[in-house]
Amino acid sequence: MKRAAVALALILSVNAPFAALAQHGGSRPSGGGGGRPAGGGGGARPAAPAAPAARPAGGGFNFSGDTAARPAAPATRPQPAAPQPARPQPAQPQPTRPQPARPQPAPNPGGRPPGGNSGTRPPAPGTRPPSGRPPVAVRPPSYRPGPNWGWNHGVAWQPAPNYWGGGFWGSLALAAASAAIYGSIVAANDQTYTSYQVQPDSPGAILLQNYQLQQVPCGPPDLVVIYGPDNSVICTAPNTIVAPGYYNLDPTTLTIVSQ
Amino acid sequence: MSRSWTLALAALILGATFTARPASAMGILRVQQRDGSIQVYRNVTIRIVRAKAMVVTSPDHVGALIISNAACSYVGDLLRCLLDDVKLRQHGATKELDVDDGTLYVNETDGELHLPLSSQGVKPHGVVMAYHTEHGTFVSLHGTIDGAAK
Repeated sequence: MKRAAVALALILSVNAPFAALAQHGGSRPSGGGGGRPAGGGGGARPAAPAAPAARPAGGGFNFSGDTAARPAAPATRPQPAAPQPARPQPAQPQPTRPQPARPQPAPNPGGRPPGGNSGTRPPAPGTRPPSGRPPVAVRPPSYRPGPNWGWNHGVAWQPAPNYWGGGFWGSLALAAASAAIYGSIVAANDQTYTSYQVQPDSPGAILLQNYQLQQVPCGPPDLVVIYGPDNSVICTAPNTIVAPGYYNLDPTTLTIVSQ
Repeated sequence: MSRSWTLALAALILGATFTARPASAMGILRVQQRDGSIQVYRNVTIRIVRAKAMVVTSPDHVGALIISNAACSYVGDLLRCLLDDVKLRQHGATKELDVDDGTLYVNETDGELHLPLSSQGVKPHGVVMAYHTEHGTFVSLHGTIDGAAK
């Protein structure tokens, strides 16, 4: 009995590591040489066709080219300047064109008076005109707001400062020459906010899809103007869900709120 | 009698320790310098820290790539993050790596998924990443998440 117990235990203890190695081998990419113990060579192995690379003294990763000429980064990355709101604009449709009074083609959940947008940014939400009504969230029909970040499966969306609208509208960096410019909005302080094309599969594209909105170049009147993260702005044609006007977006719930 | 059961218990605990250890640290990080030289780091550890950052640790535990502040969205069931903030922490110093462009894909499901418009698969709880720094370094990573830390 004693011997049987000891033998059983020893078998279990000896087999276990091999089971783990077998798992490693099963998940290893081809050509890797499964089961090789880690750490022996410091992890660095030059590929055959490439020149042998110098390993950093003391181990670790070799990013000498990226770190050699640069001072140590501060604890927090300095924020880049605001996304070039005063960027010179190519031929733009007259953003300050006077507006004819038009009847509202769609319900106005935001309660904004008719007249559309003239391309001039209204006062900030905090300084709403006296005649304005409280902001109203416009609920998209195809998305039921759940808990925060429910649209992102509960994962908080993290803005990336170097991307268009913090990445909300897509990956296009503002400096990208290939970024499709979609008109602009002139703010009350005469600053121009350039609008860029929303990239497919971006959170912003999901928002537009939920509201069944189609992006159009900013500038003409009677558009839906949505201000996004990082001083971003896009314009869409109004529809039966969203009336012309100015809106802020709430990325936590992926909804727009009238200003 | 007691000695034999002590041995058996110790062996069982030892065995359980090995069996409980997941297949980990199997990530492969490839760094191609601007001059064309290449380092391939096998058995790197991939961990998610506080659900906010992904940390890739070198096999010798000296260096760590910290990937944070990415803009993430879902492509089907695949989490896709546009990289922006990557830091290198090693030898007691933390340095920023200026990412020019890059994407991180994370498969949080228990089944294999494919990258959009690609035949490349991402294993369950797998990670595929590629980015390019402003200096000209090209970095790629694939592996599976080895764990998460609060």
